[in-house]
Amino acid sequence: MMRILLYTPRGRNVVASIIFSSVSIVCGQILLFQELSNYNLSHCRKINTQKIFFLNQLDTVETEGIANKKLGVSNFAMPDYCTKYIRNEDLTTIIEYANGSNIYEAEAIVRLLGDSYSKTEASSSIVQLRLLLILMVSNSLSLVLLCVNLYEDNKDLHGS
Amino acid sequence: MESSQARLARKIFLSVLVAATIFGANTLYFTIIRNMAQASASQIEVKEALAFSIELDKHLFYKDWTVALQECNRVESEKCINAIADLIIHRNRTEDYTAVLVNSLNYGHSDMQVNSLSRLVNLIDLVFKDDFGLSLEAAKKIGIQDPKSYAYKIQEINPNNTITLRRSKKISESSQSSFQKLTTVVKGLDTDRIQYKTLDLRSTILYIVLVIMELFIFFLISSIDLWNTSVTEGRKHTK
Repeated sequence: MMRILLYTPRGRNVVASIIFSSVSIVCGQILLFQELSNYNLSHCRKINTQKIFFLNQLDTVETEGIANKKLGVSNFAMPDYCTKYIRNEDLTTIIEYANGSNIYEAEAIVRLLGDSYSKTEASSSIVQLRLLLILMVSNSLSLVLLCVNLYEDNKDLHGS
Repeated sequence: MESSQARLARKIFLSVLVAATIFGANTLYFTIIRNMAQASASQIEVKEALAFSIELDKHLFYKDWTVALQECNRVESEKCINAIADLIIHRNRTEDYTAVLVNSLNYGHSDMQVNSLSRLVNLIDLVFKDDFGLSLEAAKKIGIQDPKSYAYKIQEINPNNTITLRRSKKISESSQSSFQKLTTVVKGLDTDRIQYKTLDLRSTILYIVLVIMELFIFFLISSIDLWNTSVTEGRKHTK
């Protein structure tokens, strides 16, 4: 069976068309998985953005009095499922700040987290764009090969 | 009698139908779980922000207001102006928390948490209106934008400096009580995080099942295509 498929033009076209279609399917699935992951990332970003919003509201408050006060670290920690979206180079600094944070360190943490999430989101967009391009190309190639076979079929039906 | 090839084709066809049914049912279940995860995520987003904010407020606003406002027998003093500014921010943040509880966490106006926050806002409004002699609403109407201008206006209205803050102790008490009630809202945050994580994991597993089913269907259909092609081409070559 494989011999006939690989040694006849029509067979080769079908095999190649199936390979390109499977590449499209795999790309589509990776893209959907990335979308699920992006939802989690945007959830983590929203949590952080709201923290920044509440911190910004304090801009006019006299915070000197509590500058050295240790704040409850547990309230500054992001959920553990958000940690995977923090870039490694930011993670070390964030952990340093998080050890007994005061209000200024808390500000630094949320801003660092914000930057880190943005960068992760940007790099994920680049990957998604590339995958979309691969998906489009493989889909088109698969259709072109299908078209060649249909043309051959047509020739067989009506005579060349 | 049915040939072995025809039997195989029928088996593949039936397998595709079964796989497509599993795929359909799984898609439905996946959508339901994703919706549950999204609802859970929204609750966590609000509670996380609230937990963070009240941790800051605990040190800034849930304090002894009698001490903070004691300098206000001289309204123009810097300490009093700062205290007025803090009190306004405390009021606005309390109002924000009320909106968050009602709009995002579906609390009712009759719930004790919302009630407690509303009482605190009303109390602070009364302090400005009765004790200082100028409500925040009236101040806004006459174009007062900052606490300093507010303090000067109070001084203008009340040149003899006869301000007696009778409600500062009450503000402290009401603040403490609101703080206690707010902490009950964010208490279940850890459970919510675990619930979201579980839902997310479940949806990932369902997604993997979807992927496997899709690939299975694709390869079954492709195998029929390859088989048909090899048979047609084989016949052509043997002619």
